[in-house]
Amino acid sequence: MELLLEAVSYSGVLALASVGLSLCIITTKVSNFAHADYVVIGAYSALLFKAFSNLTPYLSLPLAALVGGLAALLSYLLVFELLRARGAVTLMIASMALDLVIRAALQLFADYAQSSLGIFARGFVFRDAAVSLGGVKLEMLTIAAPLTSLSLLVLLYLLLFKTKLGIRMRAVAEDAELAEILGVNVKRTLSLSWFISGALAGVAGVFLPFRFSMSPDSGSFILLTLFAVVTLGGLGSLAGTLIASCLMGFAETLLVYGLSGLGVSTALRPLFAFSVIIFTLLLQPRGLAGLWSTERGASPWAWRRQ
Amino acid sequence: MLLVENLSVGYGKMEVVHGVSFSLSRGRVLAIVGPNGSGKSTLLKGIFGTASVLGGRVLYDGVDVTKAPPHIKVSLGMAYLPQVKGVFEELTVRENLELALMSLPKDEGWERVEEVLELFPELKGLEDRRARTLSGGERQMLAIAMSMVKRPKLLMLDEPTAALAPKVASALTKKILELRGSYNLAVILVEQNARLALKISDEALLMVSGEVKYLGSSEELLSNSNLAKVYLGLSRVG
Repeated sequence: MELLLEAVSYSGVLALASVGLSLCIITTKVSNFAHADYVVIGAYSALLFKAFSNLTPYLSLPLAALVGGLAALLSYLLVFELLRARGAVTLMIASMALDLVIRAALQLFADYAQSSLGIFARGFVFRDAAVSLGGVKLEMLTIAAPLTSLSLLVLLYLLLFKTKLGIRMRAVAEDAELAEILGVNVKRTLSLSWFISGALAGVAGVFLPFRFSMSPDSGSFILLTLFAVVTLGGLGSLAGTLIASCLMGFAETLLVYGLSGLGVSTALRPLFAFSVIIFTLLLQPRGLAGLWSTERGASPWAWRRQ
Repeated sequence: MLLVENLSVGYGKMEVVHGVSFSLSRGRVLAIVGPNGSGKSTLLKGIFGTASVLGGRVLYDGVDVTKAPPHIKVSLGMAYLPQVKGVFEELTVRENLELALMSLPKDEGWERVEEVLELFPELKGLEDRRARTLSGGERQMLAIAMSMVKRPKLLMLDEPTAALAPKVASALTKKILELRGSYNLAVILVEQNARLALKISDEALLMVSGEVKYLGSSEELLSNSNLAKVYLGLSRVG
């Protein structure tokens, strides 16, 4: 039961982070290597919040969303918007460079936090509180992470499919030039998409230190898992990404449990994500979305054959 | 209403259209015709702002809009229907129309959609279908309907009948003329089908290699057997 809850909460966190990455791929056609850094920025926002307020990091969710969102927004405005017309490869290389820059900035910040603010900022973890639910003692994370993820993903769905803004976002994702011709302010719409994707990553970052120790370069191992999720889901498919988040969340949790049980190092965990990427690309290049895509390709928003 | 002065347009630094000038009043239809690669579509893109203007200027209702981005031009009453794709395939017909009226107040917006659906009865009953499932003719009707939602004063159409069956193309051009009449629209029509374009237009601009070879009445161009034959392949006029 505990293992199941653990897997559910981890899946939720993965879904939050990878849906944001998928949104960047769909709207701006950029496989953003810096996306995991927004998750780490969210974790550091929670660390600072906890250090200064002495309150539970769960209350830092709005702050982490704001900071993660702003980091992604700045990335878009200062880097990707300027290079938008240069094609996917240029954007991807730029995102790799941005990843290094953000990590370096986080290193500097961690040094500063440790030396000047007295905050333990490398390899930090959060201690979780236990809650009793119907006589069963549970860790707060196993309730907070799935509930937050579910609520935010439902809100994202409503935003995308039930609001004018969502129509605009889907239109820009499909054809930015045509959207502009119809009078849509493409830059503003893409800015919002990036803010949302960073905000979701920032929220995911609040939950991770309850399970993993976080450092400025934690983004590297998170990134591999996120790319495994979006590859398995089908690059640029939101529905595929959600399903793949659950599959990866459960599989990784069970793998770690199995490895620990066998006395094998869990440091092998990244190998699993790497294998998922390679085998998906070899056997089902269009990922899970390929299962419901038509000869004209899968709609990024579709969850079934149309 | 529209004054184009010595306009040069291109992509990057490559000039495709060289110093084109013309004017257009409300209620008039201008056909831009010419051989393949003569710069017809590029001229339209330059006027609307989706290709680089390398020289000259565009005045709309007396305002210099040469450098204005497309969304500003739309808000001023200019509408442009691109050649390749005029609708969002992943959105439903209703969502496509909603997108087109985005900046209007909600009540007024719905009125406009209803009004446009009256003009395009072909789209009634299709509101919840994704645009990718529509026929070519229905898609073009939807694309023009989207352009009309904001009640533009100038409608620029880039080969709206391309890849349509002759019957559908004829229905579409009839619709364009209806719209011109109902809204006192100025229409610029870029067409590969020169005969069709010249028949329904008042004025014609013949482009060859990015330059204007003829600017005047469509009727005259149709009757000028030399120009019509050499540049438009119209051997028998009528």
